[in-house]
Amino acid sequence: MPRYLLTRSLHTVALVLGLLTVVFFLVRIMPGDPVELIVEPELGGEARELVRQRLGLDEPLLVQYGRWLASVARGDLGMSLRQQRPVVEVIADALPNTLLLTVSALLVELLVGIAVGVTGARYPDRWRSRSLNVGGLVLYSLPSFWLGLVAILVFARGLGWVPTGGMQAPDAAWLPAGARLLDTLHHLVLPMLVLGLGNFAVTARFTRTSLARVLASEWVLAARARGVPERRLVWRHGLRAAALPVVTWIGVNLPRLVGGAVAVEEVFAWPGLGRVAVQALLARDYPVIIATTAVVAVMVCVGSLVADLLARWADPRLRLDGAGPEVR
Amino acid sequence: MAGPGRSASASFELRLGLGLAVLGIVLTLLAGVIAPGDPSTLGPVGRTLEPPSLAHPLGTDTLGRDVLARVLHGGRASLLVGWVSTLLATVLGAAMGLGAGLGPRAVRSGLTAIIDLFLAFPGVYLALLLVAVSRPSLGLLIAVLTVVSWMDVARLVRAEALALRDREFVAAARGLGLTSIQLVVRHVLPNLMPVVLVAGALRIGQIILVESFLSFLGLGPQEPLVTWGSMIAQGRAHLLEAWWLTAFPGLAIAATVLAYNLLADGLRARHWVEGRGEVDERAAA
Repeated sequence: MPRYLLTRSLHTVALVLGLLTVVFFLVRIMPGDPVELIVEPELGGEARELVRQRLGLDEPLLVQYGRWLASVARGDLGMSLRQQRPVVEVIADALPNTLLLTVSALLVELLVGIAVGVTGARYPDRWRSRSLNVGGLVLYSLPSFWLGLVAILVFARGLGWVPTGGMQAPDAAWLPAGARLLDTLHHLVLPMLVLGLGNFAVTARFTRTSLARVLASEWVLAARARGVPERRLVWRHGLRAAALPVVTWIGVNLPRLVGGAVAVEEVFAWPGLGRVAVQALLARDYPVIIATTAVVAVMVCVGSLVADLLARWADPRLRLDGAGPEVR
Repeated sequence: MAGPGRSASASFELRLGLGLAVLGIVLTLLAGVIAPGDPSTLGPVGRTLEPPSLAHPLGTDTLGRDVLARVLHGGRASLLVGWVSTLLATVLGAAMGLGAGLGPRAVRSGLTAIIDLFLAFPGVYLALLLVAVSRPSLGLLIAVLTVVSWMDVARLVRAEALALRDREFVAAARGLGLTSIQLVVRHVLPNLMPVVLVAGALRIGQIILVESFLSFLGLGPQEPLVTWGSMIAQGRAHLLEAWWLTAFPGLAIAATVLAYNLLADGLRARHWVEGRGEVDERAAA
């Protein structure tokens, strides 16, 4: 295990380095000059040259790249052009909020997905499991920003159950700690559900397929013959044996989840990385856009590392041959 | 291709998805016939934000424009972007996947690393990043969505190519003296078709979702081109007094994406039932 952990971590580091490289060069080969986005067009060529020099954009690309990597390694992501403060601060403010939203949405997705998947594997022909599958597919097909708007219209404006957006009530700073936590949770419910429920269909399918295969296997038949109760068979033994594709899927699914969070954060005015990225984009706040993309990509890499390790924990067979689970 | 064991529900999904997808294409192509008039024509003063009526089945927007005409015309952009990006991404992905599965050793590991790299990107962020540095347009959107979505196909094709490489019939074909290119064209590609079709159908839906979000943010094709995403963005400001502005374009996106997702599900079930010894999803579906 430690050896696997080491090679897999090195792989993650290499991946992160590669991602930073791709971000840098993709931005530079796209048509469009960053300087033109920063400098007002009326200011003319001289001002443009000045900005170009100050940002170091007049140097060879490889020099710029090396300089950028070095500053990233020092933890310096530059200054936000719009907010006039270090990008690191901007991201440090937003990252915990995004983590709160995505992790809780992931939990919703897993709970609902696994429950629906188990129902589907145990009772494949009941109308209930069929309609759950169809419902999941419909939710999976909805644009999350639109689902968010509809949810706000119905549950926040119409029924008044939850706030329409944001993460805290305006007076949250004056509330005692416990009430403040409750307030945040109150704001979290709707975006969490929109993000989590939009994605459970695929988790359910992986659970269903995998569990159905396990339940049809001979050792399950043997256990059943020995009188292991069905409930225990499914939830204790079956699910663990069926967990591998599901856990692997979580790792593969992370980019989608994090991407979906952008739309949900935007609609619900949730102060996370996605909203920061969108606002930076609309303001052409270049360093912030690059930094958020890089940070999110790193988050996804670390997340899939965790998913891989979880898969090995769930399925001891993987620990035997020394190789990690191939994510395909 | 109808296999004997094909399950009824899979074929139902396939038909429903196919029907919806064809319906969507026909409706958007016939936009001018179904909802006569230009989607950008302003209505008379005082006839703005009208709820659905006989004259305007889906109501009118803030400038008195017919929402039905705009929804139908808006579909053109989404479908065009979805189809073209998917085709380009499929070709690019298949080429990368084949190279990563069957190429010489150095090419294999290089391409595999590139695929892994792009897979780790959350597509939405990458798309935002790419759109940020250029001016929004239809062509740019297609290019960007292709760049962020070829990896799925590449991953699938690579896995399938690796699996096929060790199959006996491939070894036999090699033994009979087929060159690598002949092998790929005659044996590997036909075997890959089902996987690529399923991934492609899913991909169209995903691309339409991302495209509508980018358009929602105002980063898609600009006026006078209509998109579903930009319609929803306009409707957002009038969510309370004019629900139809937000509801109908959203439902249009949902129906379109659902069509391709159903199509993918149906194709997947059918292909697995065809008996390639893989996961038999029918057992669970």
